[in-house]
This record gives sequence, structure tokens and C-alpha cells, in this order.
Amino acid sequence: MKVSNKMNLPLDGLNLESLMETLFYREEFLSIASHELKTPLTSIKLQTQVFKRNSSYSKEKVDRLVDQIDTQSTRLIKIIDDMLDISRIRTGQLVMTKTKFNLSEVVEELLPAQIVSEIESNVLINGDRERIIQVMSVILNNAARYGRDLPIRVSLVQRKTKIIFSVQDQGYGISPEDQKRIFHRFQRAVPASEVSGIGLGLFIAREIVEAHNGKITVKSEIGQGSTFKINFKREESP
Amino acid sequence: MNHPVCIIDDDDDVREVMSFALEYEGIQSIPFASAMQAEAYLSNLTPEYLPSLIFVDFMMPEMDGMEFINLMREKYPDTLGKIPMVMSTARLAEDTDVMPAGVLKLEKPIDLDHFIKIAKEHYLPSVKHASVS
Repeated sequence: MKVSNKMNLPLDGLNLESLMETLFYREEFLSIASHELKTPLTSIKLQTQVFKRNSSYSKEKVDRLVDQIDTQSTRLIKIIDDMLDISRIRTGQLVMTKTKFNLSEVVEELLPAQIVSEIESNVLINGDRERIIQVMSVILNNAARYGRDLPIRVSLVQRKTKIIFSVQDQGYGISPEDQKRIFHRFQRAVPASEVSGIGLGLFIAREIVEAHNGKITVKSEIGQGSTFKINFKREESP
Repeated sequence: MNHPVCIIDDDDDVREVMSFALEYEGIQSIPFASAMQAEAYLSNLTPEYLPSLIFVDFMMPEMDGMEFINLMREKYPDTLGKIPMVMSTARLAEDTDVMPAGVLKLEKPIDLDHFIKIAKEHYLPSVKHASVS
């Protein structure tokens, strides 16, 4: 069957079922994305309306409102950045600017004080520093978000041929079926109503890791928590 | 003292600014970060201390706004179930078209004037006051 193909996509051989599934997830994504965009906007709009209604608040109150607007604007930018990254990935424009840097220092800076960690010092990597920080933030934020507030264990070690970053939580866990889905676009292991987020983080993370010839994997069991592991190929020492 | 207005929303900033806006209008409010917390607190109140009105967000983890309203009406039909409810939502209109009977819908982003108007219309003056710890 020939389908109207204005974009010259290689449609021959495409499974109609998978096409329908993709369309379904795209619709679901639009619904979730609109909710996620509206949430920070709700806060910003309320705060600005409060300002407009009365301008004689205390300095402390004004500072608090401005801080909240700033935080919510940052949240909004993060969502839009994720959506732009998806567009870049789709068009092959997600470019990595690689430099050699100390990954141990980056991980140490990212970790909140209360996290148990085993970070090998002076692990050097040749990669896009900001993008690797983005990947690690996604993994750490997910562990915090789904980790039921139980301790999280983080490690960074280097072996002869590879660098291994891993994050282990004791949260809800992910079913084997969901483990296959979570690295794909618009997918997540829990319903949208349970946790906020638009389900792009791990998909973008995987794309970034693979652009560094690395691999991202998950091991998990329902009720026992999850361990996300990123392997980067170790290049020769400088 | 007055019967307070309840605000149930899992977004800290939204909850705080809604409470602040009401406070500025002289309306006492009690904020809750989840429907579970709200139920735990409200179910212990005697009828004379019940809130005037409950604003509840639709999309929340564990128990969403729709579940909360249904629970109040089924479990506490003569007390909490009779309190006027307003459900706020950022979801697309078609997702929340079917609202429980008698429940008002408040679309997010929220129009502040509209929100305050609803609160003022339902705010009940009283000599008794529910203490909030």
C-alpha cells in the first residue's frame, strides 16, 4: 500500500501497527507536554497577577515572588530545551563539542551531600562536558524522583578499557517490559499522573551516551529499585 | 474567625501563591501538598470546623482530584462530601469534561480574579475556628 509520502520517508515495509503506536504516543506526548508547560506557567501567571493586584507587599514577599518566578521560568526552559533536543536528534543536529575533562570532579559537583558515593579520582574523559552533565543529571534526578526517599548509591570507576558510572536506587523498580521502553521517545515507566515530566530524559540521555560511543543500561526489579549504568570507552591517558 | 478555604495542590509554588492571594483578601486558607494529607487532616475535624470550600488540583500523584472528590462524597457524605469543591486542571479540556456533579472547574493557568471571586462567594464567616497545627 502506498501512503502519501511528501517527506520521502522510507515507508515501504513499515508496520502499520507500529505506525499507529507511534501516533498514539505522539498524541499522549502532546497532552503531557501541554500539562507540563502549563504547570510552571500557572505559577508564573498567578505570581504576576498577585503583583498587579497590589504593589504594596513587603520586600521579603516581593523577593519570594520574584525567586519563584525565576525558578519556574528555569523549569519552563528545561522542558523546552528537552523538546528542542528531540528535534535536533530527529534531524541529526545534536552536535557534541568534545574536550578532555575530569569526570570525577563533575560527578562530585553534581552529587548532593547526603548521597553515598564511591568516586574514583582523576577519571578523565574526552566528551561534551555539558551534555555529559545533562545525562548524569537525568539519571540522578530519576533516582531521586522514583527512589521513595531511600538512600541512593553512586559510583564512578575506571577499568582498563572503560569508565563506568552507576546510580542505584531502592525505589519502585521497573518491570522487564518497561525496561525495554524507557529509553525510547515519549515513554516512561509510570503513568503521567503519578510523576511530572515529559518522558524525554532517558531517550535524550541514550542519544548523548551513544554519540560518545557509550552504552546506557538498566537493571531493575519491581519493589527492589533500579541500577542505571553508563559505560564509556576509555581513551588513552593524555 | 472563619471556616478556612482548603487548597490541595502538589505544586509548592502554586499552593503558596494561592494561599497568599487569599490571605491578602482576608480569607484564611489551609494548604495541603496531597489529597492524602488533606483527607487525614479534614477527616478529624468536627462538623462545626469544616472548611467553606475546597480547591483541589486534578493531576496529582497517589490520589488525583477526581478520586479525592469521589472519596469525600462516598466516605463522608454528610460532612466533607457536602463542602463545595472546585477542581483546578491544566489538562486539555476533553480530559476533564466529565466533572462530578456540582463541582466547579478552574482552568490552569488560573485567572486570579476568578479564583478570588469563587473563594469570596463561598467563604463562610463563623465564630468558631479550626486550629491548624
